Amino acid sequence: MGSSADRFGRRTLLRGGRDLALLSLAPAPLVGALTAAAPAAAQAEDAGTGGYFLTAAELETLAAVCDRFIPGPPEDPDPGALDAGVPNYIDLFLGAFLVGGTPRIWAGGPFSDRAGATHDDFADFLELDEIEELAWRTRIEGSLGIPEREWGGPVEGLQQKYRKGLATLDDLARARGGRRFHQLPTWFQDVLIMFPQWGLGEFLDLVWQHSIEGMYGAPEYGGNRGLAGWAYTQWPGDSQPRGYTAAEVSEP
Amino acid sequence: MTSHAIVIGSGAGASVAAGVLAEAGWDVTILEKGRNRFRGLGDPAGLGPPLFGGDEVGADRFAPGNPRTARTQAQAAAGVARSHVGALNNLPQTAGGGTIHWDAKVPRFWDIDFAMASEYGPVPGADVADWPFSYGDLAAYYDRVEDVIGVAGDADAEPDFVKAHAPRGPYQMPPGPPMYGATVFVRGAEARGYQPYPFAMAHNTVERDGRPPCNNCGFCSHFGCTIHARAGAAVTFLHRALIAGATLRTRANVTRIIAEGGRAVGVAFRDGLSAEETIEADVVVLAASAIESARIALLSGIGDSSGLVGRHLCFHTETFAAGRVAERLHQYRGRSGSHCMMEPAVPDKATARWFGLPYLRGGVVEIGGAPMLVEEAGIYGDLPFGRGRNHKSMMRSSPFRDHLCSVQMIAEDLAQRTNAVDLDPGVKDIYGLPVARITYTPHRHELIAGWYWGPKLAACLSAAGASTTYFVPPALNFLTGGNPIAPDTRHILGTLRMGTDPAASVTDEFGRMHDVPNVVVCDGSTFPTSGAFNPTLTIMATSLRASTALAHGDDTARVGPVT
Repeated sequence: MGSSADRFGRRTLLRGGRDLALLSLAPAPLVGALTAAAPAAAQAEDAGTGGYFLTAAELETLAAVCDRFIPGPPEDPDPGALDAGVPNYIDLFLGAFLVGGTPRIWAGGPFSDRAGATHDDFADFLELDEIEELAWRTRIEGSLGIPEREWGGPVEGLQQKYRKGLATLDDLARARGGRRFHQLPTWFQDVLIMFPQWGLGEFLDLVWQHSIEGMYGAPEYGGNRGLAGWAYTQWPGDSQPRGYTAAEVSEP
Repeated sequence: MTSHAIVIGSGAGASVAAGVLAEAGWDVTILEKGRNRFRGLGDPAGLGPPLFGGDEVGADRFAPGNPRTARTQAQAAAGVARSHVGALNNLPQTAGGGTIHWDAKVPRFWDIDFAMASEYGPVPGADVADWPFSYGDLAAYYDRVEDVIGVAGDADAEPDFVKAHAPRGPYQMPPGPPMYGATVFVRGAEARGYQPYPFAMAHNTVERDGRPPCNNCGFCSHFGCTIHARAGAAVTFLHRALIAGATLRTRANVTRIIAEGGRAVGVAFRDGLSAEETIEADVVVLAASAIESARIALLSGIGDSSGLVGRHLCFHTETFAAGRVAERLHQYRGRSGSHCMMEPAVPDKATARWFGLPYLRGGVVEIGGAPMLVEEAGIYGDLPFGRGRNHKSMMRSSPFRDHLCSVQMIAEDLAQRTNAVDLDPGVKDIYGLPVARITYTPHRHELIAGWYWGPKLAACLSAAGASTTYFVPPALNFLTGGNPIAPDTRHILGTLRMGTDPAASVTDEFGRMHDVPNVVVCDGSTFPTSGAFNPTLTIMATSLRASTALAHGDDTARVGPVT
């Protein structure tokens, strides 16, 4: 077993190369979507300076979890969570009010530019009104003792849940394996996150839900880079304004 | 002097009432709790593109801040305040309400739905009641609503028993293309002697009312229609109401109806986070959907001399049947289902006797449709060891989506006095108001009906050539809806029951509260029973009947031709 830090770096590089290869084969709209969704991720992960909310170390741990949840090559033949930028999706969501500009909570409409439209309306995220901003800040940042956020009592935000959950996971990894989670061999990581007895179930369910959103949701939210999640599942994604013909609906 | 009506809500029932009153010359103010995601709503020049799309992540992000709580009847009896806090059958809080995310399946209720108590007798442990009017009384209002929204269907293809229970004329448009996955089930069902047929649906199959035909994009159920091919309250009645001069106030959260001496005099609400303000009104139309309408009545302290406000809450139950097929069914194309099968909606007296019930009744079977991709991933992730390598493998082979032929039966949920909405004593919403607390346990009738019909539906799948066929009875469906208490049908009915006896009902046949007659309830909360079919068309027709009488100040007024 080699150093997992090396492994992470090497695989990131390998994947970067393969992404470029994919890019050259992809049709033009797909390239547009890919390059539109990618820059924030590139900053977040490759600069080594942390993301919008998560620190560089937290992103290492989170990336390792996402990689175990939705693995890519060589373990699986198709691109996985790291190829699709899932940790970036999660960091963008946790940092929705830190990114600047309109928080990426609700994509705009009606059409992306993937099925015949010329402009990607999805990328024009909806402005939040005051009620929505209060509600989403409370969910994401927590109530933080702010009276107007405590209509239902104190709320632990998603940010705190991730910060605490990732730290707890690293503590567990050190206690059982003598090193941080992302440095453990993959089978060891699986033992820590696939079994409920370590008391991390609720946090890992949260990461799982966000991972599948980032893998299989619209790329404007910062995940599903290169439409990786849609390609291997034969999922065409949003289809308007082109839609489908009657024959495409009715025939096998 | 012009009468002023405040309409609380802008969904199916509310929009019909707002449209009728505004077109009759009333001064109408619509208070909608959510936002308006339409461009050009109320613009005579026409609707523009909406601010939503075929986006699964965004569609699942309901605005936080409006939790509900829930518990079972047994928990309530044991003094448990609540066992669930969070979402429960939440409908979109937005201009157009639940018709933003519906897939517009619009069967009519049957004649017997209006007279279950007298036709089939009382049910032990339930509170089944007749409606105060008949199918015949409602037929003209069904006709009118269908004419406004436009329904695609094939009346000739309906089996004789459907024609007998819900007689009707031709539909406005022919049905859209059959979905391939639905036709697979239809073959099996026909082999088993059933008569499935094209599901009546309020989506255009030709250009109509300035809206284009459906182009089968697949993002139908749970999604707003991005091209306005699918009708809903917003693009029909609400649009018309605004053109006729009604005012839509969005982000207006009603805190209470103000009543004095048995009359409503106005409504208090908050515009966003601003301080409470009030508007005076001659009439208040309450149509915020059954859970929220009951909550508003309770917050206002009105209408409850019978002690029945919030009671008789019904949801419908779901029984799911599925099987694996060899080919990919591509059900991401089309309209979230294209056919239906109605045999389970026929009450079965013979089988019911074994269980001490007067009848056993399932409901409409929806044919076609499949999970979306994030939803599919979530299904595998909930399986033991369904994450990791196994997850990728399952997403490739897609046993629970692209290779899954499935149907769901939406079945009658018997009204029970003890299934109820009240105000939670401890949990508050973003405005600091007590949230709705749901106490709910299905009657054994619903569970038995699911166990009775589930295997029969699975047998249709076997006859269609599917392998590994199975069914999921209603009780287990509770596990999949994100809450442990109630089925996740988004069909919310009862709570402000209508009837002729003020001691046994909250509202009269025209939705007027017995205690406060100028509060007119125009949503599914007035339903005495839940029926065995998708309820929205009947909500709209019932609202049209109530608001027509209201607009004319005359209970004998009849609906006129569409203009």
